[in-house]
Amino acid sequence: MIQTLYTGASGLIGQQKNIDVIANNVANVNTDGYKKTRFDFQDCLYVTMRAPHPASNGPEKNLQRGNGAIELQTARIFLGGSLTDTGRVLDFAIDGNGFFVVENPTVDESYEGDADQSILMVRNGNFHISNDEEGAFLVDPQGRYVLDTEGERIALPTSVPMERLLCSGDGLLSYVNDEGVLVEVAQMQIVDFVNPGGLADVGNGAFMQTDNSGEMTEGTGKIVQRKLEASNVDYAEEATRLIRAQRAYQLAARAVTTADQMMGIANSIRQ
Amino acid sequence: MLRGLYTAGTAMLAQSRRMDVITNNIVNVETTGYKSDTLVTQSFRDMMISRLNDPSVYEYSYVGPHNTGIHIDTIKTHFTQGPLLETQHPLDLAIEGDAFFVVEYTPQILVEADAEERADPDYEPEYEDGETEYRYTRTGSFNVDAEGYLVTPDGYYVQGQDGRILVGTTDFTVAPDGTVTAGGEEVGQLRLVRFEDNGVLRKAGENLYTVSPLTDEDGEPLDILEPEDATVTVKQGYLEGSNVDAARETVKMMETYRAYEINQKILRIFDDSLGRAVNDIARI
Repeated sequence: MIQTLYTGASGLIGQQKNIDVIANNVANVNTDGYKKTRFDFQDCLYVTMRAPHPASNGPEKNLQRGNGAIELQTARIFLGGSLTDTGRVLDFAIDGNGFFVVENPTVDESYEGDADQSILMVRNGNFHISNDEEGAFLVDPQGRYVLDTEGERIALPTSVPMERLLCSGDGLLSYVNDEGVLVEVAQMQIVDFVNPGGLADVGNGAFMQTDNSGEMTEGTGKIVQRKLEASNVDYAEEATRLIRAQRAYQLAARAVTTADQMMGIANSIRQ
Repeated sequence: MLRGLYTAGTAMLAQSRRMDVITNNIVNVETTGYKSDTLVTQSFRDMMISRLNDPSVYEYSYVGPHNTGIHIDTIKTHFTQGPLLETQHPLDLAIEGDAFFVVEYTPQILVEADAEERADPDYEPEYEDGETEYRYTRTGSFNVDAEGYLVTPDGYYVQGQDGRILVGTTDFTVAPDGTVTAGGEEVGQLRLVRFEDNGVLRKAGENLYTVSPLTDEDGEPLDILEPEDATVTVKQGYLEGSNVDAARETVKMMETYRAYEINQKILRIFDDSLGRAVNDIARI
């Protein structure tokens, strides 16, 4: 009977975490480039109940009793969000798989693993120009420098109006100068990973490579200009999940209450 | 002392076990691929009651059979199809039909440390790999590990017809017959198995099943059959929900509670009777 309380409690705790994840998704329904997460459950720890009689003949019987539900994973789903036109020349979006690469402003000196922690991956291509004494550089909304295929910061020409900047599907930035000649500026880097789900979420829409994300490969997506990728959160799906989570929470609470009442009954056998 | 006391006691015990199983079903109502359990109880074997000290009868005779309670017999897992929920996530697979995915399971065995090592504040338990065995699952929410193999979220390799499946990317397609294609090439075919009697499956946690016993009565290995083609399909972008029926579990919970309650009342009555026998009958 005590075990029933803990089993029921595992359901309550799990659904609370589930609702946390759903709430976070809903809060980010308007965050450009946001990738939704999903909470998955697994059953756990089956123990064999005491066998009443040894079976004299016939197959061994199933006496495995479960002890609740725990978290299996909080998966991040990298499905693409819809692309919305903005008309802004420095708005980019990736149509397909892949990430933009930006420089990591804070590097952890004590890290000793194999992953490259100097770069971060982002999907939000709402870029800006950052002017300092070294020139005009392309940065993301958090001020992180966007990197080209050489790993260098992308410097933009200061003499040319930005409206003339063009971007090809594979990320080549260029413009047509006054003589009508196409001048190349830089090649934006698009990368992908064997296991993007293994990337670490460092906040502010950025992901970092870890030992679990596997090899970095070339991204297969195409870059489009003057568009932004919306959040891939589907509000209807999150609302449905929330309703199911609430009902599951209620059920688990009912189970805990009933177990408690049963314990009360046992306690009052003899006043 | 009073047989009825023990009979009611066995019923209370059995109902509390049943409550455990129902609660486990309830908290797993959102677990992908979970199959609900039912506790089956059985009566104890009947005893024959014999007549003692009856002067009207010359021979030792039987009155009739008498039953002394119930006990838990087994837990039956219901392998009915759960609802298919569309997620559009390419790493989510669901089986429609009677079949299971096969995964390679390596148990982690704790390395024994003596009391001195355990007392050390920096002691961290170490694990070593045990013998690899196969387990079965319906939960199709898979991942790709760092080397590109298709794995479960716990890291167990999903088996294809030729062993582990190396997809190399999360951008792969799975055909309804289980063929996995990545980058335009066929990289494997999912191994799906079916059991002649699903009753041999035992839940082992982590959404996995083991087979017990591994051999039948004659010591022959149990048949694991390949499913007939037309009846089983693999759907990519879908997950199979839990087949727990919340309404049914709630009703079972109410039944169990009332059965527990009424047996408690019986116990109380026996207790009162005994109380009278002990305290009142021989009162001077």
